[in-house]
Amino acid sequence: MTDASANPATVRQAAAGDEAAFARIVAEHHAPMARVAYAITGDVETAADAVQTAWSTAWRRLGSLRDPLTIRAWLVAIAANEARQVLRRQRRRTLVNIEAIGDLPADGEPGDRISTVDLARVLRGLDPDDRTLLALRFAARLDSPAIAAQLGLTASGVRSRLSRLLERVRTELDHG
Amino acid sequence: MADLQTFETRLQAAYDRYLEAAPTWVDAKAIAAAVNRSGLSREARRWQWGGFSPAMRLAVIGLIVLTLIGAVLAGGSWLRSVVEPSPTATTITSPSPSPIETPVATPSLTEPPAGSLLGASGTIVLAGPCLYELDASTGELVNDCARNEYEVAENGTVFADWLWSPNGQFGIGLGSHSLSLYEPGTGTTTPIAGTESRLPSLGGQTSLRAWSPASNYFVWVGERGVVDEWGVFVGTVENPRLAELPSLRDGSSWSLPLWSADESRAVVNTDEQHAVLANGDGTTIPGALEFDRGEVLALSPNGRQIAFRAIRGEAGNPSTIDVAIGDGFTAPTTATSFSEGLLAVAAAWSTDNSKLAIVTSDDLTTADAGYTLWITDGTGAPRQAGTPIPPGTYPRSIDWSPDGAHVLVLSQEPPESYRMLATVVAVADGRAVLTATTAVFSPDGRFAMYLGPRPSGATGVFIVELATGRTGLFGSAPGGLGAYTSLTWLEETP
Repeated sequence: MTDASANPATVRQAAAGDEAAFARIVAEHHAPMARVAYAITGDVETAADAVQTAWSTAWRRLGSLRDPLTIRAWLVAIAANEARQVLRRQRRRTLVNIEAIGDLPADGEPGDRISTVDLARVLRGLDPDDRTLLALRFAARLDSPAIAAQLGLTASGVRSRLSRLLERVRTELDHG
Repeated sequence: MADLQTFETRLQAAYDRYLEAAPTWVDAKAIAAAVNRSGLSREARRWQWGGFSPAMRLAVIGLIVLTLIGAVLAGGSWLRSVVEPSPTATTITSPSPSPIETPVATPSLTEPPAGSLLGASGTIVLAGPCLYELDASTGELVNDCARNEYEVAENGTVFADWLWSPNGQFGIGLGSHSLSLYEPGTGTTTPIAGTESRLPSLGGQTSLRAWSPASNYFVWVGERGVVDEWGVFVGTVENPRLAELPSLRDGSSWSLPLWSADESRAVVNTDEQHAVLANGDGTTIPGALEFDRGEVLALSPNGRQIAFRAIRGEAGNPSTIDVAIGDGFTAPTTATSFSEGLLAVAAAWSTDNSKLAIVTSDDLTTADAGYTLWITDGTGAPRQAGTPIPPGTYPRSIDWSPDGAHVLVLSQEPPESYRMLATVVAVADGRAVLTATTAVFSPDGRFAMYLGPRPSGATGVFIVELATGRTGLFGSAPGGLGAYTSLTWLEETP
C-alpha cells in the first residue's frame, strides 16, 4: 500500500540528515502513529512515549526505507512495535491500567453500536500482538498485504489471523 | 462472511470513536530536533544504502592518506585534519580472533617512522572517526586521536567538512556558502559553487557529494542558474559542471549515482521508483532503458550488467519482489526471486562480473531484523543456501575478494556508530569463515586483515589466510576496536 501523500524527496532529504525535512514528516505522520500507539496501549501518556521512541527509531532507520511511498505504513508499524514492546514490559510488571477508561469519549446512541468502554475492555484482554494487528487494521487502516509487508507475514496469514481475532472480539463483546 | 463484514464496519466505527482520545498535538520541530540530538552521528547516517557511491566508503581512508601526504608536502608545518565529532563512549565486546600462530612484522602506529607513515613500513593505513596529528618534520604522532575539529588549514582556507577523492589527490570542501575543490600540497583552492551562490540547505547532507571509484568524476548539488532551483551535477577537476544528471532536473531527488568500477556507466535511482542508465560522466545514453518500478542495487564492474529490485504487482508487497538483471538496453531477466517477507536491500557483483551477492532483510521495521547473504550466478538458477548475518547488526556494504572466492559483509554494530562487524563468507559453500571487527581483503584475495583484541587488552591488527585459517598478528592499533570504521590494504603490501 503506497501513500499518495508521501513525498519521496522529503523522505530522502530526511534520510540524508535534513532536520527540517524530518520535521515535515513528523508533522504529517505523527497523528496516525499516535492513533495506532493509543489503540495498542490504551493510555495517552504511554502512547505518546511510544511514539516519541518510534520517531527516534525512524530517524535512525530512515535510510533503510527502500520505498518512500510506503513511509506511512512503515512509520505506523514502527509505532505499533514500540507500543507493543511497552505493553509487554508493563505486563511483565503485572500492571493493569484501568484509568484509560476514564479518558474515553462518551458514547452517544445505544443500539447496535459497540461502546468504546466495551471495546477498551476487550482490547485489554488481548495480548500485545493481537492488539497490534487490530490497530494496524482499524487505527492505521492498512490492508492485509500492507500489514503483511510490515510484520513480515504473508497476506493470507494476516487475513486468517484477523478473521479468527474478529470472531473472538465479537464473541467477547457479545458476552462481556 | 457478510455477518463478519458487518461486524468489521461496526468495529471500525467503535475504533474511530475510541481513538478520539488519542494524543494528537505534536510539536514536529521539537521532536525532529530531539531525535536529531539523540540519534546517530552524521557520519553514521552517511552509512546508508542508496545515495552512496563505493568511493564514499573510502572517503575517510582518503582523508587520512591526504593528511599524511599533506604533512610531508607541507614541509614541516603542522597540519591538523579531523573529520567528525567523536561518537559516544565505546564499549568493546568483539569476537575473539582466531588463535595466533605466526607473528609477523609489527610496525606500531603509535611510533611511526620519521618522515612519513607512507614509507616502507607504512603500507597499512587505519582510519576512523578521528585522525592523527603529526609533526611533519619528524613524523611523530603527537595526538592519538584529535576530535571535534573541522578544519584543514594548510593554505589558510577553512572548511567544515571534506570529501577526499579515493586516490587522495583532491578534496571537496564545504564552506559556509560554498563548495570548493582543494588540491593539497599546492594549496590551490578552486571554487565549484562560488560564495555568491547560495547552496541548498545542506545541514547534515554531506552525502550529497561523492567521488567516482577512480576519482575521475565527482557529484555535487548546486544552483542551476535560477534561484532556488537545484540540480545534481557531475564534474571533473577541469570542468566541475560537466553534466547535469538528467533524471534529477526537477530537483526533487538527491540520489547520487552508482558507478561501475571502470566508470564507463552510472545509474541513478530516482524518486519515482525507476532508474536511468547514464555514461560514467553523467551524460545520457541514447537508447538506454529506464527501469520502471525498481531500484538499482548494483552495477557490474564492467558496467554491462545491472542488478535491480523489481517490483511486480502491488508496490510495497515483498512477495512480488525479484532481483532482475539487464544490460540497460534489452529486456531484463529475473535473476532470483525471494519468498514472502524477504526484501533485497543491497547487492554487489563479483569482480569478474559473473556472480551476484545479495543481502536481504526479513523486516525493515524493527531493530532485530534478520539479514541474510545470498550468492547467485544471475541466470535464474537456484541460489545456494543463504548465510545469516549476525543478528542485531545492520549490513552496510558488500565486497567481493578480488579472486571471487569470498564475500565480505560489513555491518554496523549499534549502538556503536562507527564499529563495523565483518562477516567473511566462502562463496563455494556459503560458510562464514571469519567474524571480526572490520576487515579488508588483500589485493590477491588470499588474506583478510581485521582488528581484534590482543591478550594484553590492546587492539591488534591480524591477518588470516582465508583458505587455511592461519592467523598472524600484524601490528598494534591505537585506540579501541570501535575507533576504526575501515582498513585498507595498499597494493604494494607484500
